Amino acid sequence: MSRTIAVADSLVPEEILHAAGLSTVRLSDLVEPSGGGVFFPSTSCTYCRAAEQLATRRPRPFDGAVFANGCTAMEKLFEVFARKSGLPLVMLLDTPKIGGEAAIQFYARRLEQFAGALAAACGSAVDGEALAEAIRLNDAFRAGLRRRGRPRSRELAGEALSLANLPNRIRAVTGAGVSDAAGAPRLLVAGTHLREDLWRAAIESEGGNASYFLTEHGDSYSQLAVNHSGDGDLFGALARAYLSSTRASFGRLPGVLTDPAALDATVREHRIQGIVLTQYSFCARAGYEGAWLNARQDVSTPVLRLELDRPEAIDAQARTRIAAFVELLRN
Amino acid sequence: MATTRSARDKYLARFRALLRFPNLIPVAPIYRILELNCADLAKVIEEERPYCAASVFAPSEILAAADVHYLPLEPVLAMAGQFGIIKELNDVRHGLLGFDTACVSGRSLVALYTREILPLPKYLVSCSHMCDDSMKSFNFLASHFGLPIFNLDIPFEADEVARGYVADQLRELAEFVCRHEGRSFDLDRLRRAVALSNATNRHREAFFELCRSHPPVLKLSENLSTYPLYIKFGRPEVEAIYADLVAVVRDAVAREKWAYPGGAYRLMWMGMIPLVFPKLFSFMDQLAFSFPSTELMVHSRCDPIDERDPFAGLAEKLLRYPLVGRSQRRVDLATRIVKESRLEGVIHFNHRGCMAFNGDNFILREACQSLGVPFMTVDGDIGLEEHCSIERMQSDLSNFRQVLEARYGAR
Repeated sequence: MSRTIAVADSLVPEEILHAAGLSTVRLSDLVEPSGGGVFFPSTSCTYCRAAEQLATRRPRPFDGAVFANGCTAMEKLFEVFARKSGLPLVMLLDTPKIGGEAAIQFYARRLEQFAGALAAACGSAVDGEALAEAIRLNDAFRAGLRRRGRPRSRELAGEALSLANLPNRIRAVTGAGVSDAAGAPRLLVAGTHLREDLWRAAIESEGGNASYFLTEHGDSYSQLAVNHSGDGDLFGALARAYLSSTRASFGRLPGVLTDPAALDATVREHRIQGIVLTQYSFCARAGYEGAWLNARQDVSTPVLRLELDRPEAIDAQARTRIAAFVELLRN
Repeated sequence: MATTRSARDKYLARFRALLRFPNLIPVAPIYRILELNCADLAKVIEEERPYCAASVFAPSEILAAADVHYLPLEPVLAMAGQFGIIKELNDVRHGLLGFDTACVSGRSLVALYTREILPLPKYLVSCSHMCDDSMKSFNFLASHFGLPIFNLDIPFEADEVARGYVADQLRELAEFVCRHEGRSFDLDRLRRAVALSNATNRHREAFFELCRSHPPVLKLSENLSTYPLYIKFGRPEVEAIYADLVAVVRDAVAREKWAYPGGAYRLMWMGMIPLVFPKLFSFMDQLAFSFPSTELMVHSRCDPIDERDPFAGLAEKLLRYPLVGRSQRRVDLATRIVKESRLEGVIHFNHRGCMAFNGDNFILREACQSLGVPFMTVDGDIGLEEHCSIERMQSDLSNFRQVLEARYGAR
């Protein structure tokens, strides 16, 4: 049975882990709202304060964790896991915080180093053939999600993804897609480390449609396509695809919310009537994206900002605000 | 417009009032660095001189070589905190940003411009050091006001790949700056700026050596106030000021003019410094807390920068800052300073919302425990009293004094 690695950031290409014979789960799918707060003070990122408990909790459904430095808080969460988890494999992928060709080249080199470090840690080298196959299968899986409009978290329900089970997953995802409730306003939900399945249920119960998830694992994940023939520089292809496609990373890279043309295109394409922007308390990266939306005069789509003091705790207050927002859009 | 002018004049007047800050007057070189900053600010406000707004981590040597008039915004804000303007900048709850659970520094930085306290810069230079707030707030300004921005990306790991990546960006930065200044880049000027930076660093080393080898000659607030001095390396005025600072301290040592004649505990302050609360420093003076070292003063210590290949040398400097990258860098810095300066305790200030510093708190605590050095965490905020309790901070510090007294005896 292959070892399972918890992936903490959307800039970590799971293809490389799969090619090394490892299975992957998303760390954010495992975080529970309560607990934590042992290593980080109360005035820190509320997501990381909850996630830190996974470092010390036993048993854990994973044997290692890979982080990326998409934000300062994730760097520090990595330190907690590296020092306190006792896991045999805890790594941080050094990712660029800017776009452009030089950043892509830098990222490609880092991915190559990452593959080498994985090989050293696991004793299983990442060969070109396996990586090409992993890219092909992950592309096919994401394309299936994209076609059916199904968020990853809903599709997998916490189950690990691996080179071995991807073919079955690809077949399964061709099943029924998610359909909108007739007449309910179509909402775009933006945020970082969200469980799309929980948010979809909450929004639907308040009379809205969660029609597009601008989240790491939602529609922006499913829209990622490496599209590589298998020849040439696979790390370069991965770097280019991840840096240009992961527009909802809410990392230091600019995202869709700060790109007027990209936001307008997304709103038009998905017939979005309102934006629900979530942010964890003390999360600067999502906070500034929201601030940018606040300050823009030319965004005609109504925006609801929700600050979360616990991951996945869609409490009564948040639900009331969502219900009021949906009502506003209906009128 | 009249309102804006008035707000700017008020800001400048307050900045100038800092020159009369009573704790700073005895140390002439510190007074002079404030004068320098004040003069730079006055040119922006009174003469409406075009300028660059830069992150404090932007390589000042490149800006100096291109003769850029620039304001490093974080130190400008830090000093603004000393006369209470931070509170004013945040007096509209949430303001434009719409959230208040972010570092007050980034929020105030945005407010400096959205409230028209400072005229808009020609362009911005941002750096991924040392936190998300910094880069995000600079980019927010660029986006909101349509300003050109250069984002300098410093990787987490310092290796050959990272060095090449950063050195290439620094070359691009030099071109970017020169393009906006309307002049061509001169490598020899950069080499001279780097040579000045190296000379300044030698003075800093001499200053640190004096601090760690002798009883303190600077009072706590004076010593803490030296931390904005690390800005603007590569300028001759800064080099001269540091040379004078060393002379002043050396003279005080020769005359045995100690700041605490009755003795004081030798401590290290880690994390941000809440300059906005001068009464906290007076309180620590009463507790006989001296700080031969603060993390913000010593973190920018670096090996001499290679003057023959300044871009590679500056890349190395940026990649080696202990405050960024792996937490072990901060642990190594703290361990080194504790040992070198024979420190007796460490105080870590947890600034509200600052994951960059606070995220390492538990690691530093463990490191100090293994060194046998008492460690104390003080929770607070560098800008707003409403986000913290001075009384609680004072109570925490008093408790720490008891720990020190039990360990080392009364002073």
